Amino acid sequence: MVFTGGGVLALVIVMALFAPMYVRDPMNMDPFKTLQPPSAAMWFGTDNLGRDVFARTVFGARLSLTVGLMVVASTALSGLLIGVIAGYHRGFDSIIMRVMDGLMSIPTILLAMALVSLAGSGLSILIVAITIPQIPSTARLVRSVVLSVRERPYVEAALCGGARAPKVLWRHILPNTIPALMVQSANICASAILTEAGLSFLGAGVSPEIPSLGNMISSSRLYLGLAPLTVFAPGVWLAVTVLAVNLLGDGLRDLFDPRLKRRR
Amino acid sequence: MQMQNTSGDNVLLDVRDLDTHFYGEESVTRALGGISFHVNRGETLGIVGESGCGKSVTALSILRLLPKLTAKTVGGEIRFHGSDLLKLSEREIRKIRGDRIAMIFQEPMTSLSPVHTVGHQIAEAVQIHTKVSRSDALERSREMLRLVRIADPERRLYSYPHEMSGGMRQRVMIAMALACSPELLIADEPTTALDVTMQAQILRLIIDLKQRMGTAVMFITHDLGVVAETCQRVIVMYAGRIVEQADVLDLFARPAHPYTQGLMRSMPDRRHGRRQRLPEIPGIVPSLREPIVGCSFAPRCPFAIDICREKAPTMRDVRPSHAAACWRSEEVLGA
Amino acid sequence: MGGYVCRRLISAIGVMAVVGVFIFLLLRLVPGDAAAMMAGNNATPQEVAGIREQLGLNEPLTVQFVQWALGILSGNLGSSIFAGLPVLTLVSQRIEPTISLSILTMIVSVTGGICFGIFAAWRAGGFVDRMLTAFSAVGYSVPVFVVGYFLTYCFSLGTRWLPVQGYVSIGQGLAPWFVHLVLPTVALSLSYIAFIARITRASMLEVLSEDYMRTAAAKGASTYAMLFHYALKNAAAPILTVIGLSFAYLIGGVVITETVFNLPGIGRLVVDAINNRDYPVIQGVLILVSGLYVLINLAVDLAYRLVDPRIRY
Repeated sequence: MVFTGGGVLALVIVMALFAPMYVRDPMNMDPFKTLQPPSAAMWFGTDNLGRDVFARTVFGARLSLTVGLMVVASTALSGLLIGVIAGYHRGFDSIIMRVMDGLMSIPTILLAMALVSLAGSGLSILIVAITIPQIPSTARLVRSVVLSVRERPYVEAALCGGARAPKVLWRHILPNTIPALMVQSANICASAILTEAGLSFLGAGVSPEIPSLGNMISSSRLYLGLAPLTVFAPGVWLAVTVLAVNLLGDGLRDLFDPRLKRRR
Repeated sequence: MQMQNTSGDNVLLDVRDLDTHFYGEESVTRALGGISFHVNRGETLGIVGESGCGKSVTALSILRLLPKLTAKTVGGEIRFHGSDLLKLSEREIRKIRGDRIAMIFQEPMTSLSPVHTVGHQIAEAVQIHTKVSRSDALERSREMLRLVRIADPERRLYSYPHEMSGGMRQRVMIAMALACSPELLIADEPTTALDVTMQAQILRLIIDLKQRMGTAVMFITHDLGVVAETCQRVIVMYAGRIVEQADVLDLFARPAHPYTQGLMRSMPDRRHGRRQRLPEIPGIVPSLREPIVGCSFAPRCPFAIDICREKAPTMRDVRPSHAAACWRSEEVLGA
Repeated sequence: MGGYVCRRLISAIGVMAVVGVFIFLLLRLVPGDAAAMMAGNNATPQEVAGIREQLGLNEPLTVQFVQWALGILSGNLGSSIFAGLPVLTLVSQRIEPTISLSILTMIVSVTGGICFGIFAAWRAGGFVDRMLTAFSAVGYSVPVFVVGYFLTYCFSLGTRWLPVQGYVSIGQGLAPWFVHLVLPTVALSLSYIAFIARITRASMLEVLSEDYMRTAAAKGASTYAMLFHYALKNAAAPILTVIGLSFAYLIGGVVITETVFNLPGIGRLVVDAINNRDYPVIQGVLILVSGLYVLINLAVDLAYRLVDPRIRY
């Protein structure tokens, strides 16, 4: 699973990374060639404004992956920070966890939509908006690891031996959060990509002319009957990307937790 | 292979050459290597042996309750009222389970569903096999709880297992098993998980109910003391085979297999009451993953001679109603 | 029991307070002038000032919050800037399609997911089990709008078996209502079926290896009784949790599904409000939906007692 997922994901990443080198300009419109069927030049045909669907799909995936990775990075950092504070400091714990509970009860997409609509539609705002709803689960995860690790004999021994708290955190507790965090990161990446696509689809993502998979589906949906590829190409691309990320995550989980694998 | 008492209508359950295998990742374990025995109507048969000798596998094989993916009975027959249990359809064997052959298990703590009331679980056993209303089934549960001497059965009917002690749960298990008045009760180490005072009570209860209901009991245990107290006939098992079979008094008076002798010597002797080091049987139980050449007990046997290491002994009568699978039973008896 | 309910209620109220503060601050602290954004690019300063006045943005933050919170507690979620109607009225106008879709989806995914999970666990490693692995991989990865358009393409545009879009009120007949909801429900259910089935399978697998399942078999219970009657009740607690948790995701899914199939529900209301920057509506719906989520999870917590008597409060 690690290999299938990783392989497909690598392919999607490489294609997205080098997109400018081998596809046409995804913004280039051609009013005389709208809704063209697939051809050798334009593999997925053109959309209602005569833009190359393949080019837009690849560029859309570029945006999806950027959002996915950025959200993972920012979620991991903030989740780690909040989780460690909550797990290590009893006083903050209950307050932080109540706030996280509250955050968790606001539906992800609605929260992100509200944030985007308030702060305007830019890539960085989009990333923040997708990150915030993801933080609670990561923070909870980190907290639970910290809570269990700090009870372990070697941590207690280190503390009794006079090691200072930051050192113990760095040397003993953080490394233990890494496996769980990596598995969680794959889930977050997949759900961030889906959320971004969903927001774009609803018109609350990046602005409509920028190629994003959600935007493409949204703007082509009226032409579903005429040119199904304009909807399905970005749709399938999106699904494959997310599937690859999910497979990678499942594979990582099996790798880090062999006990689970046996039971599956 | 000679058997006694196999003719006549007195036999309730007749097991012949039962062969059960467990399938591991790479190996096959021959948990039962062709065992034959019978249970008479209304009698108490003890099956003794160390853990891992195949006692529980025997019990589970009879009711076909072995884990489907990893175990299979590959040979033999189990005659119950003339029909072979191994050849019945799934639906037919279900009609026998719990109704005509019932079973109680070793762990009373985990053998009851934690989310159903005790009364419900007993009533269910009744309802599976007889067309009675819910209230009649509950009435039967109440009666059974009274029969197994649970205090305040009215209230206990609506209790959950976690509200009861181990001994009480085992009583519930017994009530459940006997609710349909089975002809045979298989008791798989029913007292092992209980503390000593409770053990005696539960044993007495089983024997008492057995006599009252005329049920035959197959008593599986590793405790020779339990056998001495409860059983009429005994089967001794070692490494997936039966090594000796006799009436209980005979067995204790004159064990004809060196393994049985060893078992008896390693029993603490309560009469003398002095501290002494218990003799143990040297060596370890052989692995059942590889084929065993000769007698499986030979490597640990003080009587072993060449033939023991070359050829597996079969059961043969050493005296009337007393058989052992040993080349040197006569010497063992004489020793 | 009573003590537990009290404690659980208090903590739910605490969570709701956090949600309230958060949603309130969202509107005030996010960079940019909410009133100016709402008024749009062509607004005159007077219009902006009018909106600011209407939102009470000139008052100090604490006063604003108290006013807002008191309003909510008395059932006043504010009024739409555009429609001029109270948020609650707008919501009640749009609630029927949303409730219909949510309930149908819940019924389909809970029954489908549980049955699927049970069979997968019963024959672990078998055909159904492998189907579930493949199905859940797809269910987790394909977003509802892609599934939705795929189904529309196949069953509405292609075969014309089902209507393309839109909604017919249940008052106008059960059959048309149902027919219009088939595709949205299926599209939305896929990922929940996968989600619930995976948890059911894991929980059942654990239960099936327990000693009491062997006891049930020894009683002569049928396979059906063993799985659905005996094992399911023992495996129910984690399944319940997941059903409660998945409600938050369900709302997000409903918003998108309503857009795909053009159902005039709460989801459309929110999307329109966001496009129009109609903040009172966004705020009001967010509070309502979060409150519902908290309530449902409170109910789930209390329902544990019904499925597992060992839980002591």
